[in-house]
Amino acid sequence: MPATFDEFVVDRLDGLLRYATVLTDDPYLAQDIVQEVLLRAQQRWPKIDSPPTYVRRMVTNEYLSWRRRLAHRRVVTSSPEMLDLVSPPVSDHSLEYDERDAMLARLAKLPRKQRAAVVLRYYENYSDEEIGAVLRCATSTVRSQISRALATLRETGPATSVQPTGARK
Amino acid sequence: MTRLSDENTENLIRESLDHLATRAPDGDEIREVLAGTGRVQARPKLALALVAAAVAVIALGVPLGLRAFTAVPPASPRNADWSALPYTPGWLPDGFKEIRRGAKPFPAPQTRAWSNGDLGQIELTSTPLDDDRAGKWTIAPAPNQIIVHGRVGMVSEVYGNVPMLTWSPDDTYLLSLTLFNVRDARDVGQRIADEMVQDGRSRVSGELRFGGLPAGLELSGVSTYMTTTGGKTELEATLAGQPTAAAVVKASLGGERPDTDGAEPVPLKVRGVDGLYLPARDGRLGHQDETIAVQVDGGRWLTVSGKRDRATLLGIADGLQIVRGDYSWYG
Repeated sequence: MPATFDEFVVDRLDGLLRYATVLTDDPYLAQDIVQEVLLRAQQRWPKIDSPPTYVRRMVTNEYLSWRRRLAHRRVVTSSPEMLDLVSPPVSDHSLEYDERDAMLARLAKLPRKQRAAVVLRYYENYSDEEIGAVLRCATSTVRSQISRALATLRETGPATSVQPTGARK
Repeated sequence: MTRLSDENTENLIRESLDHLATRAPDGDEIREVLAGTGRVQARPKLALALVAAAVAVIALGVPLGLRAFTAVPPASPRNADWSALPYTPGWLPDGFKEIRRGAKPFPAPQTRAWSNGDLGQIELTSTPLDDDRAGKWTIAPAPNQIIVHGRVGMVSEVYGNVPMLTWSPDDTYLLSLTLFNVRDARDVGQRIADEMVQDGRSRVSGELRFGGLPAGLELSGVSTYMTTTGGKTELEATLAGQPTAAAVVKASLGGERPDTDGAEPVPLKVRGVDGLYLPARDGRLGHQDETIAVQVDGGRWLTVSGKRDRATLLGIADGLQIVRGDYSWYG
């Protein structure tokens, strides 16, 4: 467990940025959120009991409330070109990537709280109780949110005839 | 509308989120902002003597550590996206082109190699460290120290007189740079080490994916090469939870027909077309496992081999997905 704020940043910053990126689907917004959260955490560091949990919860709360703040923030569009600058995508049109892109598109349409619950379960591997603690809601609410999200995410759209290259005809 | 099964949905969600995580920005801007507040500073450089004591164990730590890797759980935040390559040389001698990239899950090393088109080759391995392993290192003398940005590393000789420079640039990775048939190798190695830069965006993106693996096996490595017949991808699978164990099954896609090495090919259908089966054999190439091979679109050969029976290997070959890989890094 890092003892100081500096050590925490060294050890956890990259993981926080990945989490925030998955949560927001926007690397630039993720960077803004993480930066703002860390600046605030820095101010009150001695009073924070469990920094990893606390900071992750702050990032999640920022994401859940960020639209209210947009008017006061620097807005950076996340065009495909800008995203490519962050991480050039591998050119790929395979079925696998189509499925993944389609899933990301469906995830992007989820209500924010559902998305946060899904990210905490499937990216962070949190239990329902841990998710409830982060989202400040009952575990029954967590299960309900995830259940509704999964119902949306299972719908794959029209059946595709695309086959992997070289697949058995 | 169609619906995915529960299992497929959950797997696809995990895979999609993991992929999305690779788009995360690096933390340099935030570190600068926080450093501007006067709180976050670079980690203090340890006194030379202390670092020497800690890093000198590399002499023992590398081989000992590699054996210990198999006991370390593969899931780690240190290297969740193991296909990303953490470091790249900012400088190389004239004429060297990148020819190979390989990645394995934490805590196994990632590798990159450059060639001058002749016998000269430079290989970089990046091994992720973990706190537990670092704590187990023991002190050993380091007779051939080097200093890379204030950190002590060492030079050793492998394969007779091939110099290998080893140092830890950031407490997270252990880098090893091996220079084969390079003139003034130690000086060249020192300069490459001095000018090594963080990467994290270069990736290993092969053309193959396992569609399914027998119970108890999991993906343990992907390598991409540039060969005289074009790009080649190799996948490895090994025992689940032991990412650094020897490969149990290998799959490859490349330009060359597998060498029968004296065995008689047995015709069989692979992926719906005529392919071949080769039994386990001991020939001029040494021992080779049972092999399934088939020529796919474009004339290249898809091969699956390993320590599993013919039916299992055939099932793996049938399930392999061929995707569009990325060889744009070549050169």
